[in-house]
Amino acid sequence: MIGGLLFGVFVLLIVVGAPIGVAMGLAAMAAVAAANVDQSWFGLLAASQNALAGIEKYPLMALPMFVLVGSIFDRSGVAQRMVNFATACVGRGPGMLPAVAISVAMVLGGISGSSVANAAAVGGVMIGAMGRAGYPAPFAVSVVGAAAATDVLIPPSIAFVVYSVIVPSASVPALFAAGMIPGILAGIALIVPAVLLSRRHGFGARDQALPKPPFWKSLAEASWGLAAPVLILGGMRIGLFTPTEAAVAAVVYGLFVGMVVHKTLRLRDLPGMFREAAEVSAVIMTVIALASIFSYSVNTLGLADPIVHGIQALGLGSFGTMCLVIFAVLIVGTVLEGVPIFLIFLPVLAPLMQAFQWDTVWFGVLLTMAMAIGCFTPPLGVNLLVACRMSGVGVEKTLPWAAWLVATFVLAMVAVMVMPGLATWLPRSLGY
Amino acid sequence: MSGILPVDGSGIEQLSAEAGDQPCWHVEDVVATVCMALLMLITLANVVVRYFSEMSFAWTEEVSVIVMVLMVFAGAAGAAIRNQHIRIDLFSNRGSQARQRGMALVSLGATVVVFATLAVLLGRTAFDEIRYEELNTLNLPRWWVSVPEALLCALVAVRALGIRMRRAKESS
Amino acid sequence: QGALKSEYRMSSVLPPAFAWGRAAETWARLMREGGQGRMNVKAYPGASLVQGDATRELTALRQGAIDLVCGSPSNWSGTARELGCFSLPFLFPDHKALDAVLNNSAFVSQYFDAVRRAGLEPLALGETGFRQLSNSKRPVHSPADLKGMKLRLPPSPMMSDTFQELGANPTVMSWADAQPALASGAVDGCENPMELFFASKMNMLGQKYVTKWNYMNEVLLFAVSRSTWEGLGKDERALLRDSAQAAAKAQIAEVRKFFAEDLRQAAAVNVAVYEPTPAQLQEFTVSTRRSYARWKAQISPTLVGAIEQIVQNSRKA
Ligand code: NA
Ligand code: NA
Repeated sequence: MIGGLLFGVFVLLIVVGAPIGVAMGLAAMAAVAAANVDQSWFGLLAASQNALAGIEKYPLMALPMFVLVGSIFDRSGVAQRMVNFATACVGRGPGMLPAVAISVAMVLGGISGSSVANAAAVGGVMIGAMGRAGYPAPFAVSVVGAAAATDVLIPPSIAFVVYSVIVPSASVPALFAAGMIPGILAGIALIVPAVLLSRRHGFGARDQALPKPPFWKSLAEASWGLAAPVLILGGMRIGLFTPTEAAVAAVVYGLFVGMVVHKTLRLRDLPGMFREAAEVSAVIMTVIALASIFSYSVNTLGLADPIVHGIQALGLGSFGTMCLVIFAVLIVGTVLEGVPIFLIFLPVLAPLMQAFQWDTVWFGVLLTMAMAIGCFTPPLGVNLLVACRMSGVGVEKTLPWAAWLVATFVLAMVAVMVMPGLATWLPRSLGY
Repeated sequence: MSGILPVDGSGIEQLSAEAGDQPCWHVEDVVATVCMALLMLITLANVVVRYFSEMSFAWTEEVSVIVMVLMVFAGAAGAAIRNQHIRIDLFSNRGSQARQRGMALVSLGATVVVFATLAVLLGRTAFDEIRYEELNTLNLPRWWVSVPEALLCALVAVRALGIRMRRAKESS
Repeated sequence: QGALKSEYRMSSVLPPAFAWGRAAETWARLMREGGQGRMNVKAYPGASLVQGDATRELTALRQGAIDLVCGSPSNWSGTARELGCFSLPFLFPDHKALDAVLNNSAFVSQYFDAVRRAGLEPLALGETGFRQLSNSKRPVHSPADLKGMKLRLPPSPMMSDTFQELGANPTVMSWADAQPALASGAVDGCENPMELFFASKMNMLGQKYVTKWNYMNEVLLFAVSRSTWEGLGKDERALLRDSAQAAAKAQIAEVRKFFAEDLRQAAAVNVAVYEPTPAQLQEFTVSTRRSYARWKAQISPTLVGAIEQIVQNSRKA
């Protein structure tokens, strides 16, 4: 009954287009009030307590800092120089520019924690370049959108920061390390179809005529950007920085590169960048705060238990249940993505994880892979939308190309599902 | 991260805005921006001080968390003005004008109820904190933080209402 | 006195894998059984009723969001500082001293009055266990060995003060960040009850040296919010108190059994445990005297003074 109220209000508000956090918060407040009519203030004082406790967590500080890093590197001019260098490495010809776009997105993924900033940075350089070389815009947009999705797996990643805050037994450094190999795997899984599709359809034939950038000069210019992931990941590895501090170090480094080295940033750009990062972080963290009320209500009103028991009663076993869960996340991911997916699913997934004794780090990587796929599945995928806006292409036109990339990304995810070592080997050997 | 922008992508103009654009600065935008800069500076100062003196200051974490929460509520108010909160408008963008308007009203009502309720609850908590003379780990009265939080929550509700009234005026 | 609630929510910090969490479970079970099903009590470990933030437990109790608590009052130091009077460094040299305090009815009633002032009805006291120092660098016999050692501490200004005065280099971080920091060598050591040390396999994180110096022991308070207490009848109140006391007794016995066996357990995993001599302990105590005095004044000179008196008398006996 109260479960129905919670679910009903939530779905109704989502359908009418209310903010996702508001839908979770109001549904939860209604359920808490209905269950506590005999209490003072209908038991709602727990709502504000939980909303605040949900975001008053120091580890969450990494989130606004990594958003800021993404925003700064988006404008620092390192993406263009990395593209030149990558082109100098792989050369020109059909399929080479998509491979360059994906590789650069992966390296930028080692700096930024957010796939949207990545899509904006890579898209800003590559969509135009691919268009000039003869790639159809819907194809270019799909490649950029999918490539940017690797950002949530390759450390640093805001997704892992949020997951760790909700599932404390999975630490941020362990998750960061665990995302590395699956992230590279996903990148390879995208490069292969992108190259094959280009060759088969003869895309990028005009590319061959263009001159190849000189190797050493482009390496020198790209080195500032290439050094950033080393600074961030290396600094964390040797214990110089916590994840939050690594992000701040990257901010300072990115400002230096953008303002002094590449001169793409001016002092008067700073307030706008800080403001944008503050608002983007606030939007995500508002959902986290309000979702904490949601998880409180699911927790105290005993709503998760019946769902968990119901799933267990299906008798699918550990692997079958995991397939079911990931499938559900993928389906919901077509219309929704990112942090909200975690927040909606985790109150139920946490007890399931416990019941089947899934490794919390491994499962976090799988969940994040499913979430990453949602970022570039039409009709609603935030990376895809960023890239579409840049090129003026309608999202529906990307379906024939995005479908291939979704399919191969899913294969990479299945590989991590079947071979947990792909995720757990690195954190284990680093001693996390 | 995905989900950084509204799922309908309506924040993208802002993301790719030309550096020369001067968007309108509301008071909450200033608060959020200053909080963001403070967060960066505090953490940076901590790293530098620790590097040179092997000391670390626990209280800076407490301060950072307080600043971060204020940034969240201020940023939420700013996002309410520009309609930037993450939502799905797959369904609410369809159907007749009247149906769309009805859906928008329900959505607005929900937003106002949630943030107004939070403001009242936080106000009530602040009242308790004053009554019990509660201190935070910085040894400062807790209500110094919860009163601004309550006010910013109320501001989110006010901003959400404001944008609706402005639109109603424009359309009439 | 009103009707019974459909569910009474109990907050506890550690899960049932620990004596603390088992005590919460036991208490809840005893109430359910003793009330023949009339009292439906559920324990929520991990402070999950307040999103894992144990410092909010007391406020949530006062506001009615939590009914019962099996918790450590030092977590609520911002809200009710004097309740943390047990957690000063080197206050109890051993269990004999702790027992002398916990069995002193005059002191306990004085402490319970303070709990009532904070808005709770106290029912029983357990113990969270003596906290010991561990590190990856060297055996610690005296403050000189601690010099410059990077130690992870939970967010407690008093602990930071204490270790700074001991010459160490304290770094405050959450428990989740602590393990990778220990593994990567970003910090050298930490301080925990040995139960936590073994449960989280700290020896696998390079923590080879333990100093069993009994520097701090915090009580485990079994209490009920005032509004919930006032809504209960005489029978339920008696049930609440009796079951809390039974659970606390069992909890203390478990902690003591563990304490007695931890040397053997450490030897089995090649962890070197050093037990400082009385003279060395005195050296540690003396070097933390300034922060001790500062925090005694802040927490409650009366309550801490009473504890000191009882401990001193127990030494003579
Ligand atoms: Na990344
Ligand atoms: Na999607």
